[in-house]
Amino acid sequence: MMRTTTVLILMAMTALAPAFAGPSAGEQEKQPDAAAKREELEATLVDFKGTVDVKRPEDKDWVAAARNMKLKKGSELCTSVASTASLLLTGNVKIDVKPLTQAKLEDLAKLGSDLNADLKLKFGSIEVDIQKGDLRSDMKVSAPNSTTSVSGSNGIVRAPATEGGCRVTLRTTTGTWRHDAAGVDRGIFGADVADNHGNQLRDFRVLAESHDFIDFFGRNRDELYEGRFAGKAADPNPWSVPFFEYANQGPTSARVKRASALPLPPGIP
Amino acid sequence: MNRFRLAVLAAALATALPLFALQDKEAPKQEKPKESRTAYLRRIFEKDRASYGDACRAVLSVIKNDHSDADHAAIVGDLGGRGVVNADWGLQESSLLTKGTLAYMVCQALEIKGGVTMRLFGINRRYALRECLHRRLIASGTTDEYVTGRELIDVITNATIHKEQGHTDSQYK
Repeated sequence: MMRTTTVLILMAMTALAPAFAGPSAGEQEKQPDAAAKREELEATLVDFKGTVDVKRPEDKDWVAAARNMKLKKGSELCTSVASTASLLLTGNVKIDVKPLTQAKLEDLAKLGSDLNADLKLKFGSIEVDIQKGDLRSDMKVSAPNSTTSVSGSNGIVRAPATEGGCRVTLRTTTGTWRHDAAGVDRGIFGADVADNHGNQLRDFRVLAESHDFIDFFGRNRDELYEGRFAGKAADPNPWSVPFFEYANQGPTSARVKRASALPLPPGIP
Repeated sequence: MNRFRLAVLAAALATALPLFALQDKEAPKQEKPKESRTAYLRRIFEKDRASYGDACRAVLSVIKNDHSDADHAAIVGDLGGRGVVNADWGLQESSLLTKGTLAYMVCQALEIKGGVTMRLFGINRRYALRECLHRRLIASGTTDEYVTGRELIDVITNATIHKEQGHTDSQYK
């Protein structure tokens, strides 16, 4: 009986041994492939004006910027008064660093056909310009209390030194901007929003403190969502609002969105 | 023997005294290394209280649209000539900066004339702060409130925008 038990235990151990052993030769071959897919990239400081300092990972102290300087992951950049810098991450992703800004390139890598860029904004402002290109570009701009993810489009992210949050101004309306800040849900989370040209912004989300707000061409949240309806009773032509494309698609067009949320425009049976 | 020793000591002291005197004269020359380029900006960001010297350098940079590496005396002399700072304040480089003082400097640097009161009675720190609050150059505060380093950076950023565009609206959009 004892021998049988010992034999059974030995058989069980033999059967389970591969599970506890290290990766097989085939698996070991797969891991370098996965690692090879992630390719570290370098940003290029294509242009600068004024006093711009850079601290690369290999630098002990800050050094003066130079044209065509290569900035790898972990590099920091600081601009003084009346000084700007232009960074080219890839052919289609450009970042303009505005005056009085300190930013750090947290990550810059190519993952297959995706470009993954992460910029940490300590204070100041940057303008992100992502054009269509071979790589699908996903960029994340982190400020102390908030994160803005950008896929396509052009806009400015500002991080005031005092408040810790950041403000976002969109220049174009294509692409996706997702802005998350630690704090209060402002009530439009997950809502699809259009700009005042009628273009739909996909996946536009806001979670922001009072100092954070998203701006569409100079309008703040109150103007966009609440002030819009104030005083409309006395307005002789209350429907001449180019913002809501569903209310301005003409009397004969079918209403596809939120038609029940508002009374129908004049002339509609 | 004792007299001889005393005489030797006295001679040694007499010989060494000029050396000590030289060292004393040389001591003030060993000033702290001058900050250059953007280091001052990062230092200001980390400070709980901004100093008058920080504000002077930053405001002069805004006026000249260029970074200034000059020493404090030269900067204050330059600002005094432009009427941006008042010599009667008696502030030192390390003096803590108040919002009223900063507002006065910003208003003078940007040549903000202000409203009726400021035009009638002239600029002072209280009216200057009210004007800066109105123009959103300074977020909030009272005249004698100290300015933090981060607030100073924001004010200078706003002042730069105001100088370029005539307002700070783009900072809040």
